[in-house]
Parts: sequence; C-alpha cells; structure tokens
Amino acid sequence: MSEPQEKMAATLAAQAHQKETQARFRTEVIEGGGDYVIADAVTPHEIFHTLDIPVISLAWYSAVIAAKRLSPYYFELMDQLGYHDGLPRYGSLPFMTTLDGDPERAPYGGLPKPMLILERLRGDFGQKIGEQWSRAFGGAPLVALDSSSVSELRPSWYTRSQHDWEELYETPRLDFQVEQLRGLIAVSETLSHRNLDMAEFRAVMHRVNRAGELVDKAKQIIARTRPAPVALPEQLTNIMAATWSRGSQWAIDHLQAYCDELEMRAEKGVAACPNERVRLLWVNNGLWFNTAFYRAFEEKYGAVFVWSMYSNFFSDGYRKYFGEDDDPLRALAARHISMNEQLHLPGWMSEWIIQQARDYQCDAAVMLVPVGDRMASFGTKLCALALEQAGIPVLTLTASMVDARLWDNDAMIARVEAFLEDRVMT
Amino acid sequence: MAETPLDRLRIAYADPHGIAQARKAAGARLIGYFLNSVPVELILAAGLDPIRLRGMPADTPQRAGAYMEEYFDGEVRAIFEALLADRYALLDLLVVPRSSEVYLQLYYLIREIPRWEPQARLPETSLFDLLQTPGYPTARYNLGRMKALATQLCEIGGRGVDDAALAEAISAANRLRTALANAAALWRGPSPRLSGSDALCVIGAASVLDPADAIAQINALVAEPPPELVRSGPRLLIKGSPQHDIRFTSLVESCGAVVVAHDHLGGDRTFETLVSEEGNPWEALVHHYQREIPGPRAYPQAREDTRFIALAEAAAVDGVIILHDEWDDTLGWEYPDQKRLLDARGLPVLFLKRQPYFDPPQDEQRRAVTAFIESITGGAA
Repeated sequence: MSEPQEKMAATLAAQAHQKETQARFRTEVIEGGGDYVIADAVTPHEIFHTLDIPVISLAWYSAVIAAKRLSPYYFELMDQLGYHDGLPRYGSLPFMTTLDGDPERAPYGGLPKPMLILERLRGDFGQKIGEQWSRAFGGAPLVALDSSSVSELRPSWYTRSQHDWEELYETPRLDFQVEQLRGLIAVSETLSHRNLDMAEFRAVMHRVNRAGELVDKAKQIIARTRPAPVALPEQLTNIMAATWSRGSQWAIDHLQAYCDELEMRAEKGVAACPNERVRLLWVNNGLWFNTAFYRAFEEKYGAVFVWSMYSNFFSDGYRKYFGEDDDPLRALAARHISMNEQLHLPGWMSEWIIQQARDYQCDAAVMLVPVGDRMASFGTKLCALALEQAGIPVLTLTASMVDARLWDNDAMIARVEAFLEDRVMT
Repeated sequence: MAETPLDRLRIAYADPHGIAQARKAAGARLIGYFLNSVPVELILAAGLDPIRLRGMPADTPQRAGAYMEEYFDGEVRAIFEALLADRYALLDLLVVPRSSEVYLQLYYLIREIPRWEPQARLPETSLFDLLQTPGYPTARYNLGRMKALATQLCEIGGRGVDDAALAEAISAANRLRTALANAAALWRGPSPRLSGSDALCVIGAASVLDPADAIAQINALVAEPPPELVRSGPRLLIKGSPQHDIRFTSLVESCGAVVVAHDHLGGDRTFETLVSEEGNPWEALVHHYQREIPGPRAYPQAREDTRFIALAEAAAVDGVIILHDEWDDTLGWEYPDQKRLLDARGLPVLFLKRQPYFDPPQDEQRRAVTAFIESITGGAA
C-alpha cells in the first residue's frame, strides 16, 4: 500500500471550480450588480441553475465563515444585538455578516442585496431570520416555502425515494409543494426578467440524477476498497462541489473524473491510511471548522472515517426519476420535500445510517450532537440506540458544529481515543 | 363553604387527568390535543369530546430521557414522560399539531416508541399538519388536512362532519371564546378581581372541561366575580414560551406585581379572535387556524407583534416580562424587535432567557423580578 502525499487531482479540480465560482460571483454580482439568490441548502436551487442565476447556499456560506474561523466574531455581534446565546448558530452566520455590514471582514466581500431570499420553513425560526434579513438588505423579497410533514415514515426511504416517491412523500404534500414551486418560478421570472426554459429544466433534472448515479458509483468504490482510497475531507470537497453545482454538466464531468481516479487508486492500492484497521462513520452534521479532526486517529490507531452523510446523500436523497411524459417539477418537489427529515427523524435517520455502516464495512460510529442548533440534535438518541442494537458501537460528541470557541480539541481527541481503545479495538 | 365557580375552575386546571378520567367514565370519547392549533370545532362537529393536554412539571424525564434529547422544550419532555407512563392511554385519539417543531418531533417519537417499548400503552396518534404561511396554496393544503382529520374522526366512531354540523360547532367554540373574553375583564380590567395565576387557571380549565360545562362555569364566574384584589404593584404582561403552569406567574405576583395579561400559547391571545360564522364553515375554519391564532410559526412577525402590543395597551400594562425556555431556538429572534417596540412606548421589559422548565432558578428569578418591579415603582412597591 502506498500513502498519497498529495491531494487527488479531482480534489484540486473541485477546489479550482469553487474558486472559479467565487470569482464569477465577485465579477458578476458584487462588481457587476447582477442577480443572485440567497437560498437555504434544502431548497430547489435547480430553478435558479436553469435560469442561470447564481445561488449562495446558506449552509455553504456558514461553513466558509466557520472554516475561516470568523464565527466567534459574528457570535459576539449576535450577543451585542440582543439575540440570545441559545439561538441556532449554523444558519445565522450569513445573516450576521449583513448586520455587521463590513465587506472587508466577510468572506468574498460579503453578500450584496440579493434578488430574493429563499427559505424552507422546516423549523420554526427560518421565517424570522428571513424577514429580518430581508429588512437588513433594505427590502429584499423573501420567499418562504412552507414545510409540510409526512404522516407516516414508511420504511427504507433510501430504496424507495428514487422511483417510488409519490407514495413515500404523500400526494397532498407533493401537490402543495408543486404549487409552491410554481409560485417561486413566477416570482423569480418576474424579478429576473428571465424565462424558465422547460427543456433546459428537464435537462437539469436529468443531469442531477446522472450526477447522483456517479456519487453512488463513488460510494461503491470506497465502500468495497480496504484500505479506503480517499480521506473523508477529500470526499466532502468533491461531493459538496458537485452538490452545489448539481444541475450542471460540470458536476457530471467532475464526478466521472473523481470516480475514475478512485478506481485507479483502488487498483494501485493508494490509500488514505495504509495502516487502516478500523472504519468509522461520522454521524450527523460536519465539523466544518476542523475537518482535520477526521484524520486524527489514523496514524495511532489506523482508524479511518470513511463515511459521513455528505458522502452519498446526493445519490440516495437527491435522485428522483421521472418519465418523459411526467412533469419534472413534481420530481423537484419530491427532492426537497423531506430532505432534512430523512437525515434527522428517528426511524428514517437510523435505518439509512445502519445501511451505510454495513455497506461501508464500518466498525463503529462517532456522532456529533450539535449544541446551539437543536434541530440537528433531534433524533440522535434513537439513532444511537438503533446503531448499538445493530452491533455498531457509538460515541456521541456534544459540540457546536460551527463555533470554534466551544471546541476543546485535546479533550475530544481523548474521548475518541478512549472509545477506540475501550469499545472498538478490543 | 360552598364551592365557587372559581374553585371549580381551579380544580379542573389543577387536575386535568382527573377531569379526563371523569369525562371518560361519563361516556366521553376523548380526543386529546396539544396547543391551540387543533380545530376543536371538527371534534365537536364529529360528536366527539376534545380535551387539551399540557405538560406537568412533576413529570421529570426518566424513561423519556432515553429517547428524547434534553434540548426539547421542558414541557414537551414532561408530556413525553406522561405518555410513556400510560397517562394518555384513556384517549380515543391523540392529535398532535404541526404548529411547533418540537411537537412535530414529539409526534415522530411517539410513532417510534412501540419499537422500543412495546408494552407502552400509547393512544392512537394523528398528525394535524397545519401550516401558517399566508397564501392560497397553504389554505388549500390546510383545507385538505382538515377534511382528512374529519375523516379520521369519523373512522374512530365520530359522525360525518357536514356543513351544518361544522357551523354549529364553530358557534359553540365561539361561545367558549366569548365567555373567556368576558372573563378576561376580571384580570385585565382597571381593578382586577383575578390574579394572573387564576387567569391561567381559567384559561387552562376552559379546554379541559367539556365545552358546555366550561362555558357555564366561566359565565357563572363572570356573573358572581370575586372581590377586587388588594394589590398596588405594577401591572405586568408575561410573554414568551408557553406558560401552561402557574409557577412563574405566582412568583411574579409574590414579588408585588399584578399580572394582567399573558401573551403565549396558554394566554389571552388564544381566545382573542372568533371564527367567522359567515360563509363556508370549512373556509372560515381554515382561515382562522392558518392566520388568526398565535404560535411560533405565525408569520409575518410584524403582524404578531402588532397584536402583542395591542394586548399590552388594552391591558394598560406598566411593563413586560419575556421568559424563554432553556432551549428556545425561535422566540429569541423576535426579542430585539419587540424590545424596540416596547422602548418606543416607554414600557420597560425584563428578559429572562434560557429558563429551565424543570427546577427553575426561582431565587434568581425572584431577585430579577423584584429589581424589575422596583425599577418601575422607584422602590415603592
């Protein structure tokens, strides 16, 4: 086995693409005053991809702020403005950059007034942030997609959601979501003076499905290959770059190149950790300000994180197939209508993660239970119970996923090491 | 001494489970529900018997703690503990509204529990997926959910709900709202006759008792009110997380204030608006629950804040205490705007953030409230 000393070519390409996207954003939007949209991660970016309007994803911008270790500054600003310290932090960072009003500090020069702000009202607070953010921009339109709730969590969502989504997500909900999407399209067309090209929209939807198939192919390579041919941080870079550009031909080409390179590394025995002895799941949201943590246990224990929910949710959660006579808008409705719920509701969350543990040949799981973002903590207890019942030991780490101030790296490493020694390596 | 109407309402408030058992023994087919966002009119129209459920602080999470994260609102944790203790097994149906995220999560937890505790006697549970964004598509979706709930009520033994039955039920529920609005003068008026704690008892009892019984008791209370309170402290409004129990209100009043209004899901705004009795009753019901009831998802916020200020002004308050649950992730977003609105009117505000439901820090609360009252009265309270 040989250990790669350099990043994958695909990883470098993904990072270059991100930089190009940022450069385009700076040129077209910040300097050129062009239209763009601020959107919750779990919203139909595909509409804007089709309209060729840049999208800034809240989750992505939050992660960038956290990665640049700017979150402490904005959290202190939050305190000063009267927002108490128990409020959700993950989605509030981008809003705080606007209230701060300092483009020199904010990543990529800060966010100018958008064409619109798009929220999906899963929790109870998205509309509250959205309204105030809209006002802070001097009246940016806010489109709030309400979030209906499924009455029954039918089993095996990850095998049914690609073709059997009409029954899985329930027809009245899909009817409502389609109506909301039609409203969003009408607003977007009016504000942008553009027209949603139905043929191009259909093509975007097919390309997302194709990209999802390639993510699944990448999963199969990583899952079957021991030692794993790629480290988790590089998985995230490649998959997330494709996720944010999911309707594009670039995403397909990139994921194809990523798969090819993974195959090549697997054949050559190139490993993220040649000494791999234990394979781990990282359960729940990512630790964006400290992705090096994922690799902190390789040298000493041969313990490798091979999966997080970002590894293949694109393949299992995003793909929605539809016929040539079907309305692709209904497939788009199905894509986002229960997306968070599949990741966080007890039952749906645990059954998927147990399946991933088996597919990826994992021995144990480390679960992040976020503080300051309770929505992301819901379901974790039952998920941990289910994993343990399935024979997968679980360590839960309670921490903020974006606030570096609250992270004690030495203590967290010690906890994972103790877990490995006491429950996994025995 | 003979039991007064207020006594009877206090008893109903204090022992809702006892009331539920008594109603059940008398032949009621009980449909339990949470919060203010399940249309009791549908339950009444189906010939069934609504009863609103609330958490009890004594139900500290034991079994519930194995499954439910501690970041849930304390009251929801108490409710889940009571569910696991079979407290709600007497219900014919439990309806959980989607009008609050933690209650939605509670619904899914309830559905998951039989896998882990097959011996638990949980009631049949239904989600009422009420959405509260303004707009016609949302109204159409809500209408569908209302019809689905009516169908389910019929399936468990209720009558089919037709327009005439629904109109009559709307009228009955409005009579209860009107009775409460009349009673509100007893705590909100210039010379209060009921304390804020008793106000919560009256409001709480109204949805525990059979509606006809509740109307009779409340009307009797209004007809024979207690004497004026002998209190001279500042008039305060309590706002924030639901205060279905009277602990905090009692504490505030023991510090010398008079609590004359509550703006939360157990308070005055839950009966402020009647359902329209004109036109199509289904559409009237949809409009009411989508747009006219308070709740954490009610939107836009400025509309809600206007109603909050209207209540504060109608009650002629001298100040406002805003209290948020320990793990609140929602109401805190409203606070800076609400403080500005209060500042503009010269109304002082005390903000108690992150307050635990179980074993609250009452000494700290007392010190903060006393200092707040003194800041209003100049130390003369």
